[in-house]
Amino acid sequence: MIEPSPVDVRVRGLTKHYGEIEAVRGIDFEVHHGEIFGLIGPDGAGKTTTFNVLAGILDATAGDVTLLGQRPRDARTNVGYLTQQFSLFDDLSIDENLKYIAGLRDVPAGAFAERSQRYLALMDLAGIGDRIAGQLSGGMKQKLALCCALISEPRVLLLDEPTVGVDPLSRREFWSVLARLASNDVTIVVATPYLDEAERCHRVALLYDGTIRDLGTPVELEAQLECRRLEIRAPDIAATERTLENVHEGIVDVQSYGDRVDALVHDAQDGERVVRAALAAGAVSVTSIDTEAPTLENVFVARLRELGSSTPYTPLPMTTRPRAKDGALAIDAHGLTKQFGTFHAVDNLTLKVGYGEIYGLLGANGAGKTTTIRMLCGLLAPTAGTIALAGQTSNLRAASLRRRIGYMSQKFTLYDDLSIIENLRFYAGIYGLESSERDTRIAWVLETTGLRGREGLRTAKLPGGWKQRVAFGAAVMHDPEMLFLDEPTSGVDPLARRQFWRLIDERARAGTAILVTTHYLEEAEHCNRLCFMSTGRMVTEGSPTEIKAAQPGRLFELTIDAPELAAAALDKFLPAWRVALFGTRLHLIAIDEGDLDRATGALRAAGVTVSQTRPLPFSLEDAFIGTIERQPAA
Amino acid sequence: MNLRRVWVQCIKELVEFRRDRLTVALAFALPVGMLLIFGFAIRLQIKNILVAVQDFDHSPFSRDFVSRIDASQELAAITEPLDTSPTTILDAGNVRAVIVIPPGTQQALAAGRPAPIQSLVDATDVVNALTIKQILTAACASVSATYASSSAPPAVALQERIWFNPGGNEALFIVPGVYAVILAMFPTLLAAIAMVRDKERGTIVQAYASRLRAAELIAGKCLALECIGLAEALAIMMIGLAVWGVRFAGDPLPLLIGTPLLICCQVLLGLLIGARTNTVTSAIQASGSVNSLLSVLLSGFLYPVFAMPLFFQWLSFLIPARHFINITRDAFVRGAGWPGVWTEVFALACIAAVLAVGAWLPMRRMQMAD
Amino acid sequence: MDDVFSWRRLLVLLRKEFVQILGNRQVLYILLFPPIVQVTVLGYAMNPLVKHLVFAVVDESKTPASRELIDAFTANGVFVPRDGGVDAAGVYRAVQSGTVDAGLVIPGDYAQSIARGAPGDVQMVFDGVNSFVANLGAGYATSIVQDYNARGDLRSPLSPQITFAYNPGLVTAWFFVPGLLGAILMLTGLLASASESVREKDEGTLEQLLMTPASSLEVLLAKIGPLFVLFLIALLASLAASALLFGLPFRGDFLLFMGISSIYIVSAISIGILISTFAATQQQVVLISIFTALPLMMLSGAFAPIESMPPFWQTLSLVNPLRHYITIVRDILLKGVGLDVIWPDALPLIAFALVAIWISATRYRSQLR
Repeated sequence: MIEPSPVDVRVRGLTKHYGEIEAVRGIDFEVHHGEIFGLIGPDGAGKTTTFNVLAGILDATAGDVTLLGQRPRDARTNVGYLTQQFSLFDDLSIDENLKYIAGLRDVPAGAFAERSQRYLALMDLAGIGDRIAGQLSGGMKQKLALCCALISEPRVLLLDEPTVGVDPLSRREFWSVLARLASNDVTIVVATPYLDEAERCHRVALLYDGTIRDLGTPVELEAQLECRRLEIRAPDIAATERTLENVHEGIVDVQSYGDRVDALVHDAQDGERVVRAALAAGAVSVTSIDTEAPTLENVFVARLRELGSSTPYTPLPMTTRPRAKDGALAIDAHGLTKQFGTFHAVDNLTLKVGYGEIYGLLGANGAGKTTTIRMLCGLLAPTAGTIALAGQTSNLRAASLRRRIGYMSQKFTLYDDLSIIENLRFYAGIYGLESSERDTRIAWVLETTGLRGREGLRTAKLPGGWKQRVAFGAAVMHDPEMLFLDEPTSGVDPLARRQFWRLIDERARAGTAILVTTHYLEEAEHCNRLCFMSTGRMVTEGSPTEIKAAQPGRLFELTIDAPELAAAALDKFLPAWRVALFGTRLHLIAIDEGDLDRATGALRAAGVTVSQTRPLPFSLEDAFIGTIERQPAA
Repeated sequence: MNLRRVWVQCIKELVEFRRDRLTVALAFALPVGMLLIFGFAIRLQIKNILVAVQDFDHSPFSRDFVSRIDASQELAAITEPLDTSPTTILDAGNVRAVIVIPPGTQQALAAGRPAPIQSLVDATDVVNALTIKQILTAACASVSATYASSSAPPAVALQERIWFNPGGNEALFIVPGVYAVILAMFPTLLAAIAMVRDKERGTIVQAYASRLRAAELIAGKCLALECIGLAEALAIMMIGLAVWGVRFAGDPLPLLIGTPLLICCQVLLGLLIGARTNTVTSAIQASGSVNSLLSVLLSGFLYPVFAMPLFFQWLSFLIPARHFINITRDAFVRGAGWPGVWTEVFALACIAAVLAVGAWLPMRRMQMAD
Repeated sequence: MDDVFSWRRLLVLLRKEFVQILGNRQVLYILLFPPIVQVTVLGYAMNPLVKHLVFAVVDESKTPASRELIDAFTANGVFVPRDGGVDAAGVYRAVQSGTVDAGLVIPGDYAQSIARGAPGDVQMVFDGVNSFVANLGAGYATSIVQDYNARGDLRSPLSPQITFAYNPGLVTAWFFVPGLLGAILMLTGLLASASESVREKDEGTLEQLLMTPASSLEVLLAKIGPLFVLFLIALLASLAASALLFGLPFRGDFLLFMGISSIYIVSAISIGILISTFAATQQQVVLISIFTALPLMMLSGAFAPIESMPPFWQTLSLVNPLRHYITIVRDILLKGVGLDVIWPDALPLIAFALVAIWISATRYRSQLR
């Protein structure tokens, strides 16, 4: 969707070296007025460096960069920049943050009052101006940071992974705001590790190893792939995935999503034939196969595989100890409650996880997930309730029990000042691994993380996503019976995420009980069971399929031509959670029979052409957002 | 320089400072605690040093001699049994000197024979040792007039007067000095933290990405910390007045100008340290160990600068506290006013100017380092 | 027993701590460099002996006798003369404005009085703003005049024969180095141990560590280990430097010294760890450390004599480990005495160390709960 509008950002041959390291090696792109331009790429591809150069806070080694026809340093007044996580002053209140940034950017006092009111209202932050920024939830923080970036009404907005660590609901709201801003003539350059978000960009550039490998609209990129995506639904997902993985001819990529397996094929008919034949040969039954367009994630994964970025998958080399099966529970918590002062962080939560089960804990920022995990593994004493880990109810901090538990928190849990191998040796030693076991398992971690040969590198030098991989390796090295993973994949690129989940699946098959939290709902499809939490309470529990089936109403996808107009038109009579915009596709939840007709009517009245309408099965994200939104406000 | 941006920066710093309760508490508790300890406890004047006397003479002379030693403010005599060796007594560490009056001293004196009084002095503390020597010598001189057969009147009679602080009230000497040391230490510490924290947390990027200039950033932070420093100054000087009655002895104007100047120097030094370091810890270590130590030791607060090796005397001219200490002591004790201290005020202004440039240089590009 | 303590885990933890500390140049620099440099530099710079006092002289007598007296004043370098103008008023003005430290006025009838056999009256004024210097100066002036009076055939038969024990050369550095050693070990010991142990909390790795089988006792011991070794090295290096530069003697028992120093270092580290349990960030830790270390240093006798303090503060200083340590170091190094003499200071030091370890271990454990 390239419109003949003026170019606001022009990058020619941008190169940046840090000493020996070439972070960016000559990239070119242009961003047009009012466009949302996405930068995607694996960890360490050079996205943040590019943003720093665009914002005028880092000098390029070579190349020509102009924003609004000026050099980046001169254009700073008209550019807003939202960095990965450091945009806010945690000790200042919402109003004080806004006032400070406005002051730095010479916003006149009169304009400030009007704008701060307008933007705070837009972000649902009005009326709480005296709250301290450090105490806000992740989603609110990012919305406030966006307010700060907008307060000077910049003509170009630079957003570097603004939604990492933010829950799906807030993310969806955040992107609705971006869409509205773009339609109001703000030019946006955004980086994101969430490829479903990247689908909402007008154009996307795939950055790899400091160069742009692909550039175009999501639809163009998906078309370039010259593939079709088969959504295969089957009773035994794991068997289906295993079978298809062994087919090397005719299938480009296979990925399971809890209740379905996606297979990427060059030709829909040939592909379906190959799939059915392979499954029949393996005696695996199939419920349905639907042909869909490939997603950006398919593009990303396929492209990175071509570039040799994927690391080989090797199972953990260990003689798995026999686990108590036969319905014995690994984690059994009853009536768990945690009170901080008068605030109920967790309220009467009962949850049971069996051996070999993956249990997902989902909820918005601040719903009580991390507190729950901390109580379950004995880091925090519950105010009320009982916990049994592997049948043990007392002395949960005993070393003998600890050896059977693996834990990975959302912060990077490696020592930055130790090398990778020193970190791994430390955790192996502390869990008391024998030296022969230790060496093979450390070798395994290095193998699966693709860091063999670089084990002497200081951990601080690793990009965030790579640290997470090593941390995960360190947490499972001692073959725990119970594994607690608190947002293990936050900020990790899609390819690495897939590998994480293969490892998690494999651990579960070996009989480990796994409790995991995540903000990626499509990942949650891997869980056998999951629960949605809201304000410390369990709202829904069940398998992904059960939860989706329990959703009221139906989901429709409308293909339209003027997304901004459409969003504005539907805003008036449908709550935000029932409408979501994905590029030129609009998702709409119809609860009453007449909802769909009313919506299409409103769209036509606004001058929007609806070219196609089709029903869709609920995704877990739709179910999550719907469930949380239907909760009465706390 | 855009004054509105300076003001915005200043307000932000003050609000952030106010929010960190522990730091606010420490910023005021530390100086006050230090002032109280120094003002009450630290005394350099030697007093009540115990000396042991072994009197083998048992004569009117020896008793008179001992009572003269005891009468001095500095020494207090205790008697020791005669059968213990002086070395053992000194080794035990309870007394700082052992004085032995040999038998027959009084007779020897009367006969005009030389009568040595032996003393073994613990010279670990050199000032102590020299003081003991002085007092013994003086006691000998004054007693000999009474007991020696032939003694002439002294040729010279010295009249000594100590001005400004005739009572030797040591608080009057210590407290104005502590003002200088406190105001040299804490504003620097707070400024270094204020500068490096934004860098460590990454929030400085917001300033980089706006049009804020390095000079405005530094001026804003400097202004905020100047206010905090002045509040500290006011607090400790009020306590000094209330507790020890330290009040102006003359023209207060040099102090009223010198205090903001000193705080300005110290804040700029802190900002310079903050701009050159990357973590809060190393910034505090640098400002804590280097600045505090130099300010305490090279300012002439405890020991006079002119007794140091020449190199350190020259070095001390670069220490703002050295100049300020002369201003406070003049304002609160001597009271001579401008003629005595205008050079110090001028020196502070020069140091402030140099430090301002020093703090500006590393920040001037307002960009990330590679 | 494996639940509470395992040598293997302790070794793994110790290894990690050593690698972390040795890998961090900044920490190494902070731990090793300042003690050595500060002890040597301050040993040179800190000099309480008054020298080069500038004094203005007005000699209204202008006779050989008066010039002789002035020569007596300036002979040993304590007083440096400056012309005080023509009359006493000029001298007073100079003292008043603070440009000179003292003033000497020899009246016009000085020589005549002496010739008559009456004492010649001279007047000396001191700038009492620095009362310490003024008093020392006045003391010097008195002895100079006494010596001057006692010259020649007027020598008094009564004279003190003074032997300076332990420090016959009267080297001030011998006094200050033990004090500085103790003070600097306390300050850096507090800072380093407090910020090292709060760092894991700050960086979030503590949470991970707590989920491993390692017990809090093992974690605590591993934290103390490397710091302890480094401080012992710093201590020995500073001692060696002072021996080289100032000829500082080591007259006592080396093993006794090392034993006492180990106890002292452990108590400093324990206080640091205790502080870390109260603070959440590195910034708070450093501020609280300074807040704790300053009074300990000031009330220890390292810089100002304890005997001169008011009684209340003297009593208070009895609970200061630094005070006892400094006394012991001076005893061992300069006096060469043994346990029979130092025990009254060693006992409180040991008691303090035990209490500090116990409290910090308890607090550290409970914060992990």
